[in-house]
Amino acid sequence: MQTQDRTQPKPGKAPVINIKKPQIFVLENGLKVMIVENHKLPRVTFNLALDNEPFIEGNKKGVDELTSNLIGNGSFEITKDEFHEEIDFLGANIDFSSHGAYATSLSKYAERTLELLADGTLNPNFTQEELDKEKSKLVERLKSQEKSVASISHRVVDALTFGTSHPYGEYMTEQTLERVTLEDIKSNYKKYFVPENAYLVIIGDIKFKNIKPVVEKLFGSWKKNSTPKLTYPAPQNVTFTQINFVDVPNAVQSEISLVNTINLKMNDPDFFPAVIANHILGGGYNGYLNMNLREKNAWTYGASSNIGSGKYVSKLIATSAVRSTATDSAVIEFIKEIKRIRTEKVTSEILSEVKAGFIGRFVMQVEKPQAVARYALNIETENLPVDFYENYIKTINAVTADDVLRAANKYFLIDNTRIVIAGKGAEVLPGLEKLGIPIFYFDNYGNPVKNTKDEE
Amino acid sequence: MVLSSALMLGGVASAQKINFEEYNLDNGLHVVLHHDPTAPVIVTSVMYHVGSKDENPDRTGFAHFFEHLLFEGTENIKRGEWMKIVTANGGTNNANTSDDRTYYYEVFPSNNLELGLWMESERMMHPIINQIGVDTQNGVIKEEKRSRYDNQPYGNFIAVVKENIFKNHPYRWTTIGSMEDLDAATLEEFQAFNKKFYTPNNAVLVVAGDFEKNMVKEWIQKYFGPIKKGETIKKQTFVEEPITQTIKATYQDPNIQIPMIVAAYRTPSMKTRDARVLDLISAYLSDGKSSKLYKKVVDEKKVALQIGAFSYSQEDYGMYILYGLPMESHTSENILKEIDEEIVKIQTELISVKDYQKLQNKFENRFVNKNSNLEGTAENLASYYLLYGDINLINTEMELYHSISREEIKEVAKKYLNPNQRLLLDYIPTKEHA
Repeated sequence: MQTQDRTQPKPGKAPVINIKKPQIFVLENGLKVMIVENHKLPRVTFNLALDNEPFIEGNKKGVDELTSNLIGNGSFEITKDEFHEEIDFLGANIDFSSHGAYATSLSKYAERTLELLADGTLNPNFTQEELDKEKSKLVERLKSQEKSVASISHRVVDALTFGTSHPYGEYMTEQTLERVTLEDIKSNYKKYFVPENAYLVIIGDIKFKNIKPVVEKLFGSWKKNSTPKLTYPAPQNVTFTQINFVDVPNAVQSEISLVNTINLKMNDPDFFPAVIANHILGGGYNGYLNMNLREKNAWTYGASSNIGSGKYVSKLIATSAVRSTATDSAVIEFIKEIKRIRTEKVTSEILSEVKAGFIGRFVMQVEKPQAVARYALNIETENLPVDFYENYIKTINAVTADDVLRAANKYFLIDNTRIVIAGKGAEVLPGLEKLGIPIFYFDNYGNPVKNTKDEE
Repeated sequence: MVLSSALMLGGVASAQKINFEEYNLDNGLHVVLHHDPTAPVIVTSVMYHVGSKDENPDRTGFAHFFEHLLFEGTENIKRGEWMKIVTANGGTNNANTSDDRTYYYEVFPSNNLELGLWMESERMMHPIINQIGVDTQNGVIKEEKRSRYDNQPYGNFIAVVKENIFKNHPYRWTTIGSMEDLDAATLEEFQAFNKKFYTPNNAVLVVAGDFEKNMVKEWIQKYFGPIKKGETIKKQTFVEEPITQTIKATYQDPNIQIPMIVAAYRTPSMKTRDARVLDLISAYLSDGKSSKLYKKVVDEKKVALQIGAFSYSQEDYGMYILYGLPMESHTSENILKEIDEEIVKIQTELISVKDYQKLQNKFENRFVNKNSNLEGTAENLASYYLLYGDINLINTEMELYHSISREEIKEVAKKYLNPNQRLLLDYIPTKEHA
C-alpha cells in the first residue's frame, strides 16, 4: 500500500528576488519621506518615526510616557472629542506617541487621516486636566502590574543591567510621576518632537505624485530644530557571575534571565556571526536552550535568548519561566549551554540550517511593501551600506563556524553575567544556595536588600 | 469635506476580491487553493475540525495536547526533526487550538511548496504517538499553563467565565484542559483520539501563495491521496438552558492588585446573524476613544482605568463579555452602573445615524485588513469553510454587516443583554490570610 515514494522532497529552484526601493523626498526641515506604492488592497499606512537618541528622565521618569499619552488628544484647531470622533468615524486608527505616530486607513480616507495625524502631532494642546487624568491612569496601571512576576523581572533586569541613571535602566514610580508638571510635558515635547531625525513612511494604495504635495503642505511648516545632547554613564557589566534574586511570594514559576550588556552595530563585521550565534543558542525552537530546558527536561514552555543591536548599548539576554522546583537545575543548564556556544564549534549541519532559516525568512519578506520600507529605513537609521540588503544572502552564507565561535566569546560574557531570578524564595532559595554562585538580594525595584532569612 | 479630499488620493485599488478554488479528494479531504503571486511565499495549512469541545469531560485538554504531539514526528520524520526540516528550508511554522478546531501551518519560500505538502500529509497519514512524546509534552504543557494563565495577572478570567456560563456544553472547560486529566490519560487513549479526529474527511487543506496550479494539484494527490478515510464523525449537540437569573461568582487571583468586574452574557453561534449584530454592539460600546463606554467611563467620569467589550465567538454558542477595572476611589458597582445605563440606551433608543455610519466604516476597515497578509487569508479561508460553512464569506462578510439595520441593533440588545441573562463576576485580588 505504501510503496509509493514518501521521502522528503527536494526544494525547487530558488526564487529570484528583487529588492525594490521606495520613492524618497526630503523636506527642508529635515523630514525624510519614503513612499512605497502598493495597490493590492484599498488601504494606506502612515508611519511617522523620530529616530532620537535615548535620554534620561531622572526623578521625573514618566514625563516621556505621559507626553505620549497626551499627544493625539486633539489640537489647538480641533477639540479632543471632535478629534477622536472623526478618527473613529473614518474607521481609521492613529496611535500617537512622543516619538511619532502610526496610522492605518482605507485609501478613500487617506488624506484626511494624514491631516489628523499631522494636526495631532504638530499642534498638540496639552492641558492640566488631561495630564492629571493620564497620571492617575498610569499610577493605577503600575499598580495593576505590581504583583506580575514578569513585570517585576523586566524592571529589575534593566535596572541592574543598565543602572538606574541610564535611560534603559530607570523606571517609573508613583513618586516620579507625581513630580511631572504640565511645563515638563510641554518642554519635553518641544525639545524632542523635532524633524531633525524624522521619517515619514507611507505604504499602500496612494500615488506618489498625489501625496507629495499633501505632505509638503502638512509638514513643511514643522520647525527645524535639534534635540539636546545629554550624556549618562555607560553601563558596566559585573566582574563575576552572580545570582541577583528577587523574592516574589506569589510566583508559581521562576523568571530566570542571564544578562550582560553589549555594543553591536548592524554595520559591524561581527553583526551576522553574533546574531547567528544567538540563534543557535536560543533564537528558535531548535536552539540549544529550548532543546535542553523544554524538550529534554520539560521544565518550561520555552527558553530563548535575544541579542540586542543598534547604534546604542543593548543587552544580550537568555530567559525562561521555569517550574519553581527546577530553578537551580535550570540555572546550571543555562550556564552549560552558554559555555557550550563559547567553546564548542557549531556543527556544519546546524550552521547551515540556521543560515537557511535567515535566508528563507529574508526571501519571504523582501518583496512585501512593509519590508521595502523597513529596509530603506534601516539603511538610513543604522548607517548601513546602501547594498546591505542586496548582499544579505551572500553575507550570511559567508559566515563560518569560527566566526560564530569568535562572536560568541566576544558577546556572550558568561563570566560577567548577572543571573536575575524572580521567584518564590521559600521554594527556590535552598536549591540556589547550593550552587556555589554568589547570591545578592534585591527588592521589586532592584534595590539591594538583606536576605530575608538573615533577618529571622 | 471628507469625501471630496478622498477622491484625490484613493480609488486606485479596486474592491478586494480574494480568488480561490476548491475541490475534494476521494478520501474526503477538502482542498482550497488561493493563488497570490505577489511575493515568493507559500502557506500550507490544515485545519482539523476538532477542538476542546470534542473531548470527554474526564479527558480535557486532548486537542491542545495534540497541537504539541503532532510535532513529535511521523513514520518518515524522526522525533526532533520536524522543526529542523522547517528551518533548514527557510520556513516557519506553528499551530493553535481553540474549543472548535485545531490549525497547523507552514510558511515557506515558494520553492518549498512540495515540502510543505509532504509534511502536512505525513502528519495526517502516520504520526508517531509514543510514550516519550506524551511524557515530554505533559511537562511542557504544565509549564505553558503556569506561564500563560496561573502566573499572569487576570490570567484565569476566561476560564472562570466559561465554567459559569456553560453548565452542559463542553465549552465549560478550557482549551488547555485539566492537568489531572492529562496525567491520567493513557497512550492508547491518545492514539484513539488521533485515529478518530485527525482524518482527511475531518479537515480542510489550504494552499495559498505563489504556486503553479497543475503542479500543486498533482502533489496534493500524490501526498494526501493515499491517506485512508476515517470514520464519519457525528458532532454531538449540547443544549444549554437559557440563563434567567443573574449568576454571581467571585474569583481570587494572587497576581493582581486591582479588582475587575465582568458581565458576561451567553450568545448564539457565531454563524448566526445575531452574533454579527453583537459584534457591531461591542464596537459601538468600546472600540475607539469616541466609543460610548470608553468616552464616558474612562475619559469623562474617570470611573474606570480600563473598559472593554468583546464577543467571544464560537461555533455552537458565543459569549459577550464586558469588563472594567475601577480607578482608585471607585468601585466595581460604579462601573457596572455605567455599563448598564449604556446598554439600556441601546435597548430603548436607536443609535444615531452618524454612529451607525461610523460602525460601518470601522468594519469596512477591519474587513480590508483582515486579509492583508497571506497567512491570515489562508486561515480565514479555512475557518469560513470549516466552521462557518460558507467559504464565500471571505468576500461577502462585509455585505452582511452592511445589511444590519439600526432597528436590529436595538432588538438584539433587547434579546440578549438583560441583567437576568448574565454572569456577574467579581475577579478580585487574593485576600491575604483570609
